[in-house]
Amino acid sequence: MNGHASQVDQIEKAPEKPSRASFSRSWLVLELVTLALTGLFLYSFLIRQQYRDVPMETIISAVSEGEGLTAMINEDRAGLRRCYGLDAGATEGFYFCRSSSNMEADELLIVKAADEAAAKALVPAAQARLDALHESFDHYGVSEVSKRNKAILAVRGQYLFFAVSDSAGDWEARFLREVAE
Amino acid sequence: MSFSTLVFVYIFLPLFLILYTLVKPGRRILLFLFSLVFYAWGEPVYVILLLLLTAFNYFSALDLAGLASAGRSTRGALILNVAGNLTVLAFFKYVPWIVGLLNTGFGLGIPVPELSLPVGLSFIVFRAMGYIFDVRAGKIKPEYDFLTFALFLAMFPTLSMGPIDRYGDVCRALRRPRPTFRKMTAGASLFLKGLAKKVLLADTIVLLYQTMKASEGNATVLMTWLGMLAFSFQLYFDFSGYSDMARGLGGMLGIPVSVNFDYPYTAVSITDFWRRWHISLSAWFRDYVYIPLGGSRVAPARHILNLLIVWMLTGIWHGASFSFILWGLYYGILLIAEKYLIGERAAVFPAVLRRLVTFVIVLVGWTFFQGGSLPQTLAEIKALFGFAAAGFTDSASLYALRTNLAPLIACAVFATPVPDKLFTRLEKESPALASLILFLIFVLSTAFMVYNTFQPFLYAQF
Repeated sequence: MNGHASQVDQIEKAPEKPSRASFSRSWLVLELVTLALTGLFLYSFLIRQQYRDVPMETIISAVSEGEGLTAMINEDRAGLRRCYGLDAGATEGFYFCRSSSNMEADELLIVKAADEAAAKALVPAAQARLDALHESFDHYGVSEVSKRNKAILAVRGQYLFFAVSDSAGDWEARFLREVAE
Repeated sequence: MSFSTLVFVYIFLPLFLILYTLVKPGRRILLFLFSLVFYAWGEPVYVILLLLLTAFNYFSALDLAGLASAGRSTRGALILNVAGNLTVLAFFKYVPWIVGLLNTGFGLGIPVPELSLPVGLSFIVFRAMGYIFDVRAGKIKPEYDFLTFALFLAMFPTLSMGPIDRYGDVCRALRRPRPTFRKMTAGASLFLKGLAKKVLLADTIVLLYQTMKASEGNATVLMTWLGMLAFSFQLYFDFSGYSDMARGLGGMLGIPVSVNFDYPYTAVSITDFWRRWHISLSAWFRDYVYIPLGGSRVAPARHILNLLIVWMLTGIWHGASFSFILWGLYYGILLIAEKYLIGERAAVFPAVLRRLVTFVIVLVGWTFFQGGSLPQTLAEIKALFGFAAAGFTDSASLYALRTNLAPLIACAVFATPVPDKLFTRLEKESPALASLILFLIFVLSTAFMVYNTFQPFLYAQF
């Protein structure tokens, strides 16, 4: 019991040890080292790839010419909500189209969010959609399931880019030509 | 990670609580590790920043205390710390805005960095600076145990949206958390009430606000009032719901988390409102900016300047835009008017009338707070005062009123202390029934989380 009490006292008094508060600039050195590391961390953000704020219409006109996209169906706000559970009003614009055939998993979604953090918040919805597509075509659509492996899900600046198709790479290249600096 | 997600409620929290209850000796390490996972969930890279900020402030306080105990000046160490903290905050929060302004103002072509603000950065930085100020003032001793200090800055209940707790208030509990069954159940109850505020009230009433925003520029007077009423309630239930959840989680862990809201929409004056809204931020600015500037114990002109400085900084804290600065100054001017022009004269009016007037003033203030452009904000203020291009009302506005009347009344009722008082009485008189109600609230909240579109916490962007 006494042992426990003394242990408690030790814990309570630990931060008040006067000897450890004696003057030493070693703390300053450590402080400056962490500050320098923080500076390097911030600098790494400045030199990474940047993305432009481009009107959604510009992106749509560039991407919609991509392989196979002209034959796909353009979905509206209701489609976005039904397939992804996303509210179009909470975005700055979107482009969502998918195959006209129920037997094909091809799909493209580009969402412009308010900022990068908002775009990243959309990733779980796209991931869930990708899993749902995989489940739908599993067992009977081998070629469609293979498209899952070629799927692209990425956040580029304030944009979410999600594509499931053999042409996903082409669509992404067209998209990046518009937004990458 | 957000508190109002299924992953947090059904996986993260239960797993954490089971382990926290079982592994008593390593409880604090467990809390720290889970907090890092919580922070890393959306943006793993910012965990590095969190650890660097923690280490920087930890060493800074020890250096400052060392200087003080040796009788040397601590001013340089303080400046270094404040500059370091504010540089990090400014880098993410203000640099893109300032660069944008320079480009527009001077026709420069400086690339605007695309930076996403690390969640809760303003709260973390302010909590750290408060600690440093208190160490320098000799109010508290510096913390030698790194884990204790790291928990102060980074424990997950208060990591993303505060409150901005003081180290002196929580250090004992952080060194040795003492969760008990009683605290756990009380904490769980508070957490569920907070979750319901966020998921059932804030995320429901936001639909009315979005309807108003969808008719941007074409909203009638009635629609603008309904929209701003919805935004006022959304903001309150969103942030106070989070704060209740944070307090509930703190309670479950045996670590007290301070009260951040005290029914602000029942305030009888603007001064009263700011004693009830985001209490920890107001207290921070009062103790570390307003009082050091001289507070009210100076000549009236200086006092007015102090108030304007404090409220401009409060506005800037919320975001990098002129709207937030104007929002801060709006309150600065109102508080000056209350202090020097109105004084005690308002007391002759009935409390109900004073509450109503205060609420309307606050509602008008929220127009600045939406983060829209200045012309948009001014158009909305004009519409609130009857000058809407689309007229006073139309069929869409009346439809919005009819379909949202029940949620609006629910919000108005739950913004008062009455439901809480009734529930507290029920918990004493019939605990089984109170538990059943909480269980139903939990089930309903889960259903809303499953079927509704995810709405992030509004204050997480600050």
